[in-house]
Amino acid sequence: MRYQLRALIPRLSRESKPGKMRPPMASRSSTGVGIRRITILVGFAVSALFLLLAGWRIDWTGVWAAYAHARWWPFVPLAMGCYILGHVIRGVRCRVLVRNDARISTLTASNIVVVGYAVNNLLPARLGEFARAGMLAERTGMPFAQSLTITFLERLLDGIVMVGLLVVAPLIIPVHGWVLQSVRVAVPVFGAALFVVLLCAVAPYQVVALCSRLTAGIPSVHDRLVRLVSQITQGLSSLRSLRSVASVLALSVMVWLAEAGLFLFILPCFNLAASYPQSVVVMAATNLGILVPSSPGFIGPFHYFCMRALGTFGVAEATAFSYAVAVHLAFYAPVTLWGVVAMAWYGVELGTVAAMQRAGRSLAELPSGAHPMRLITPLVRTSHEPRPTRLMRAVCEALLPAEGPSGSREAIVDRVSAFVAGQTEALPGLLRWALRVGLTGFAALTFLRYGRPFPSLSLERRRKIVASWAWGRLGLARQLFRALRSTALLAWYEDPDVVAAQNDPGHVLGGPDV
Amino acid sequence: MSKALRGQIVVVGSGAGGATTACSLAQAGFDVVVLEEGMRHPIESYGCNATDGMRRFYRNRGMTPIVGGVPIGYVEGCCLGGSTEVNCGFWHRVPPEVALRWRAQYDLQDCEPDDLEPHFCWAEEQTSVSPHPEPLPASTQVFARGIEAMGWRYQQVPRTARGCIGDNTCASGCRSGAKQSMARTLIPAAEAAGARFLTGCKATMLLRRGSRVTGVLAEVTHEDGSSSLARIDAEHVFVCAGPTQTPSLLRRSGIKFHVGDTLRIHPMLKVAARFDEPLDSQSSVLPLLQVKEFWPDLSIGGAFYSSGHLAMLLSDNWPETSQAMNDAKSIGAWYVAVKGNGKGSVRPSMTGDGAPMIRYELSNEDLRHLSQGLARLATLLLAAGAREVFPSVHGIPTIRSKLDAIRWLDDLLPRGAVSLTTVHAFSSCPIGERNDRCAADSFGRVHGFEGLYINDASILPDSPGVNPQGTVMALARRNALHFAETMRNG
Repeated sequence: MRYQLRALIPRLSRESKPGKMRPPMASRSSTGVGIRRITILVGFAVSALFLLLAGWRIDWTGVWAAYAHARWWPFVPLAMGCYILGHVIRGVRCRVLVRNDARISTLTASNIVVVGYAVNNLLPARLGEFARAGMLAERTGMPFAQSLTITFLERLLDGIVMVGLLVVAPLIIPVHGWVLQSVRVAVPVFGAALFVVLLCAVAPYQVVALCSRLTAGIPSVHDRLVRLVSQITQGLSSLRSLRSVASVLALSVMVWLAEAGLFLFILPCFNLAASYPQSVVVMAATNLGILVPSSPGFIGPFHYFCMRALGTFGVAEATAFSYAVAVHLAFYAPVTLWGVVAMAWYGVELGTVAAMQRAGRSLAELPSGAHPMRLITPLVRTSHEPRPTRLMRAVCEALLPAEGPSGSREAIVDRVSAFVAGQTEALPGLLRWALRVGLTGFAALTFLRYGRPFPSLSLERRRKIVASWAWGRLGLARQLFRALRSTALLAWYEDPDVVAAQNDPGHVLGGPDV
Repeated sequence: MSKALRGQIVVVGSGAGGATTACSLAQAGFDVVVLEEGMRHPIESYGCNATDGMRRFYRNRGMTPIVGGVPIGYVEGCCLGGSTEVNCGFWHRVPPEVALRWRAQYDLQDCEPDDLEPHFCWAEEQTSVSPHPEPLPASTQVFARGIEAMGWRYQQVPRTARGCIGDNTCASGCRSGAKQSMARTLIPAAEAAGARFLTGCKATMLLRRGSRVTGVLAEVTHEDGSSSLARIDAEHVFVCAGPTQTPSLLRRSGIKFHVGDTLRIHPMLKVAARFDEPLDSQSSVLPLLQVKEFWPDLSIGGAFYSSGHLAMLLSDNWPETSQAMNDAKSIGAWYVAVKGNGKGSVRPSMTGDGAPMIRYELSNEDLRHLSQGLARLATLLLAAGAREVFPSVHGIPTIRSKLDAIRWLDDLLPRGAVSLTTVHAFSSCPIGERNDRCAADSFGRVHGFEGLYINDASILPDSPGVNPQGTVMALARRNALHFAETMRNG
């Protein structure tokens, strides 16, 4: 479906009150424009500086020789493939991060990620992050600040994984010099950021309450701050589920292990030994290095940190520089091309990106509808009836009476297990987790004992297993099945088909289940 | 930006306390906005089966356990009208000795029987409190037979259900409209007087400027299903969100002085009994009598009954008791409720959505009273002709003789084996003039804060020993009128 990101701007205008829409950033403050220009100029200056440092006293003859003897096939396509795979995994991760609030396909999520990277490659001042957040907001309907939070979270996860890789790497290969020192700086920085993020994710009410209390005396500031913090905490909502945290962390590791392939497959192009741990270290050091603000495409810092990281493994400067340039091209070209195609497909024009950034910012100051109360921010919620897992259904079936209305038993078991799933989801957090842990332990122990998943066992066998737990000596096991049993029995005997059968004098519904 | 809705008064919650407050203040001429977390349900949606009812009308779908050494199942309503939509409408006035004790122990002013008389009369008139019309259902008749055999004092408990047709749908909303819940009585009266009720509107925090409460931060659900965080300014805020939500909201807002430290409940043990005669409990109103012989330590009365609830009750000993489901028409359900001397607390969760974590430690005295109550109730039911009594105690599937029953007068039920429930919680923010015990003054104004009042079951200083709805409504009315009078006098 063709989609116009430009629609973001009129939508925002509609949400604003006439006369209250802030003017575009250009006319809002000449100081702001000045700062932006200075930031861009500084970025270009930093790029130039790092290029100079990278090329300083380099043996250019060695560089040309390295290129003359380089073997590109089949390594460059393999390297690019790894990098593209990394972006597809990023798309999957993005889906997981927004799934509490929106549903998007992996292709769309990957396109959103790649558009961000492409814009970063083409425009200065990391505008790609805003473009990515704006596009995510547009595709999901989430507030911009929330999308920006998710983008920030993705970058934070990337940083944590890279630092983690650099912490682990010295256990596998010797790592020396500034790479290790940079880890010592990065660990507390990312650790502090992680703490704040986790606090916002795990205790959103506390954070909002604190902000509200601090600014209660200044209503205009209060509402803005509460809105911003609410959107940020919503953006981090995926981190409230341990399963989601595990998935995004696993996906983040996969992203970077795939991207390390880019660095790995370029090594043999220059007759360097292909060492995966070495590639991981070079990749992590390079990516930490390009956090330094610079020109579009990270030209300069990328080359400098890449060649210096490779240099710590004893590779000659000229070869390392040649390698860095080749890796950068493989890093730059495919994603920029993919991003431009995606932008064309979605109708994003480069000129609109900065406008999106402005419009996105103003969203945080605007919405208020016709409702006679002061709306601070929309809350994105997806309410859906929890669906029972196979395990839950199998357990419920084993807990229910053996007799039942003929013909409709399967349907009743479906309804009962759906009810039990809904009820257990409604439990307070800690108890819900205790129940999940208990059920997982039950499934794991059953699997170890019988060599097959619990739902695959025969109903008779399942009944016996459940009975041995539910009426056994272990108090915790009895408590676990007591809660499930009473809820399942309630749903069974309240089911319309069972009630109808119960009113039929010839029917027998009670009776021991085992 | 649009002007904020500036109610003179915002009331959080629309249950017995909230609806009474809103109605009284709106009729006194105040601009009142009521925020109710649950939704407004048409009467056509009432009277569904228990599972649908739990989804629709109950907080957390009826899954709000009270944690402690003995977990206790607690249910409360979460809809317009609060728990009055899903209770059985039993009505009690606060016993005079309890009111006097509140005066003595909490220095609660103007709360003696004579002070409360007009407020009880008003509430009883509004909710048409009356006895159940004859004939009484079979489950009540066998209960009466047992009580008379034992020679104990009892009473038929009046209800807020004039014209009850006994179709046993109390727990999912009365579909006949006979039950005079808040949605049928005080809420329409409040709306007629100009009060506005915003449903699907969950108060998440109170806004404060120093010690002055200036409004409420709330999550609002719009008609199209979308939600927003909104600020509603107010000159006065009455928190009437119930015994667990009120202290949670206050503590989330940084108001902690004697808030949520003293929760009390009436722990209940349920018992089923099988008779030779059909009781048809499934299709008639629950037993309406209450044994007063052992009050205030324990009360014995009839419990809500459906096949599903019977199965839950029997589930503690399911292999031995499940056959009883085939005789469901000859079975009724009763309860033993104790005054509750244990200690409870309510704290908002530090994580997630800040939902209340409710704790209650069953005292040894509670357990002794429950054990003795089981002995007495089982003896009563056997005297009434029951063939078997099924207590919700793991390891005690049936009691078939009075000798089996009477042993629990001396022995204690195993603490870990009892399945307890409660529908009565209160006293989490006690009122009174004693600053060392009370969260608010005698009329609900929170100590140390301006513009903030509490007016629901949480204000009862301690356990009333009876169903608290009547007491809550009378106190709420008294407090609201006192507030109006104070405002008028400047």
